[in-house]
Amino acid sequence: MKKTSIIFIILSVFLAFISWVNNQYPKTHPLQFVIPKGWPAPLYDFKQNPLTEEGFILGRKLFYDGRLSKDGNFSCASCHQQFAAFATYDHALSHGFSNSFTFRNAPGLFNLAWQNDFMWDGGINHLDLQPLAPLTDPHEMGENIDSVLYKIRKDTTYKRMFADAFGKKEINTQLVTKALSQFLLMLISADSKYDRVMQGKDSFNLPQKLGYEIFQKKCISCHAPPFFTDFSYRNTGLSVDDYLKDYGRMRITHKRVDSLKFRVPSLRNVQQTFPYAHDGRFGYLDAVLEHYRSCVIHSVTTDSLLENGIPLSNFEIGQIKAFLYTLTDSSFLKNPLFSPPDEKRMIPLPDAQQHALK
Amino acid sequence: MTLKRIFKNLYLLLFYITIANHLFCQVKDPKIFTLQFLNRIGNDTLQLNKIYTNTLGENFSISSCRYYISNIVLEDKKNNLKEEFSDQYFLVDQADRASQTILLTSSLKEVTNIRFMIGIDSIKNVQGVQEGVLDPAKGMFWVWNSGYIMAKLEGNSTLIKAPRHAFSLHIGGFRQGENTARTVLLEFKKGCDTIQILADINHWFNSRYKLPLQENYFCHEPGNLAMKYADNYSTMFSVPEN
Repeated sequence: MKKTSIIFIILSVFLAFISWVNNQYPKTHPLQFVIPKGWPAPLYDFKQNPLTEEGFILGRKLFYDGRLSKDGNFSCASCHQQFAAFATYDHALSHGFSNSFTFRNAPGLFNLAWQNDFMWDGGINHLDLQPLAPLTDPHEMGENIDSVLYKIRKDTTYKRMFADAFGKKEINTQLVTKALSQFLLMLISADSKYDRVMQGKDSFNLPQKLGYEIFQKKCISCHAPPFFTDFSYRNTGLSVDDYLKDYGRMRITHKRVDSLKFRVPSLRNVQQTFPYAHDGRFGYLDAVLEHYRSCVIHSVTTDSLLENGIPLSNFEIGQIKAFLYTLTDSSFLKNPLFSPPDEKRMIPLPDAQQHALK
Repeated sequence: MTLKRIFKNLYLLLFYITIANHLFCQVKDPKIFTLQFLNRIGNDTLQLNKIYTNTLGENFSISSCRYYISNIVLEDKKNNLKEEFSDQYFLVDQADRASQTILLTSSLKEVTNIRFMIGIDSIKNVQGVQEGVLDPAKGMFWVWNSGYIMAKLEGNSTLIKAPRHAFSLHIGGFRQGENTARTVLLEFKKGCDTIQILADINHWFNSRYKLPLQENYFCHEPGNLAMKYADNYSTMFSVPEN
């Protein structure tokens, strides 16, 4: 009697332990978020959305899936192309649903874990919320959330992938956006020539070196490394487009002091993200630098750093451009992890997952 | 060892667990406290798409009426006790009968007053995508300027000079200087388990501020007008004499 009850208790404790262990370690494969050397801690709260291989692969599939738009033509990737550092290549404004143009230039997507507010006007306060804006904008993907969820829930591949990534049968807005965030968070661009030079693994040629020196004197207070933006909102003295009538940050804060202020864009991969400015009005770097040199419009909210524009000689412009091209991160632009998923690879082989993301 | 013995042991184990449970957890006697929201126009029960006249003399009908209730606090003033339901959010929707009844599990013996927020606290406005009634798919969230629409009133009035003579009041804003979350306090004469809360929609248009529909038929962003509407509708709640 005593013996059996002891055995019984041990057995039940053991079973309880097994089920506890099972719950503690679901069958997902954690994905390491590697902070580049010397960079600050990311701002994104990973505890609320732990990165996993399954979540990343699901997010990537969603990112490249046209069904997230109303007519099936516009995936996130239709305006955020990898070879353009996830901006729209060679387009001032991107094409959206029903033959329309978007209102602003699509920014590149990288290093998003270090960013608190999103969009040119900073209107969106969380990375997980960001995809909902283009998704529902009638000039972008033109869809509504319920309809996207309906399409995803009907798809058996998605059903399986959501269950794999989140361990739930449910598919809802939160999980869709968390999966997208997992993909977006992994888009880290920190392997340009500039980065290698800073790590002592490479060296600038003469124009690049001179350009870097000029950049440090004249550009760095807004385009501060390592992100090449200080994430602030500034009026750089651009004229107002009389059709778009875009007053930038003021639309969000309703404060006059924010009139015509836009986010300082990162200059990483700037070679690939042309045209420039919030409405893509500058087709070339020369046009941007020419603006700073001689076209800054002075108004109440124009940035005080641009009181006299930025004095630049033609020679200096050439050197600065040489430096800016060292910010191109070709390993990021070509990283197959971030490329459209090959449907064959989407069905993971038993050992494929173990190698796919290393 | 026979099957009987195993069962005997199993019962013994269950018995121990029950004892331990009683020793270590103070089991209170929970009660269900029911809140029923009843939208009205003056003394009439609100019906969607029926024509009414507001206290400013304007005719109007309502096609949609939804608002968030959150941060409920039940108080028993006599015994100086209170209970907070801080992480529970409810979306009262005129088109969804079930949403108008809120059930709370409370251990208070008597509830003498209730405090609640009409809207969503600022914290939940900055924590990304939520689930349940806070899911942005519910249509109560601005995706271009992150933040919840605390309350929504849509309808028509022949007096409005806009397409379809429609008014559309989406009231939101959580940042300092634009906050539209309002706290409401209601007192009960005698304690009870089910409380009916009347919400007179007329207060939207005429309470602290006079906001004629003809002039203020469109509100789709945070700001002064949104805050005036919030001030107005925060006074719309009352409890019938009990």
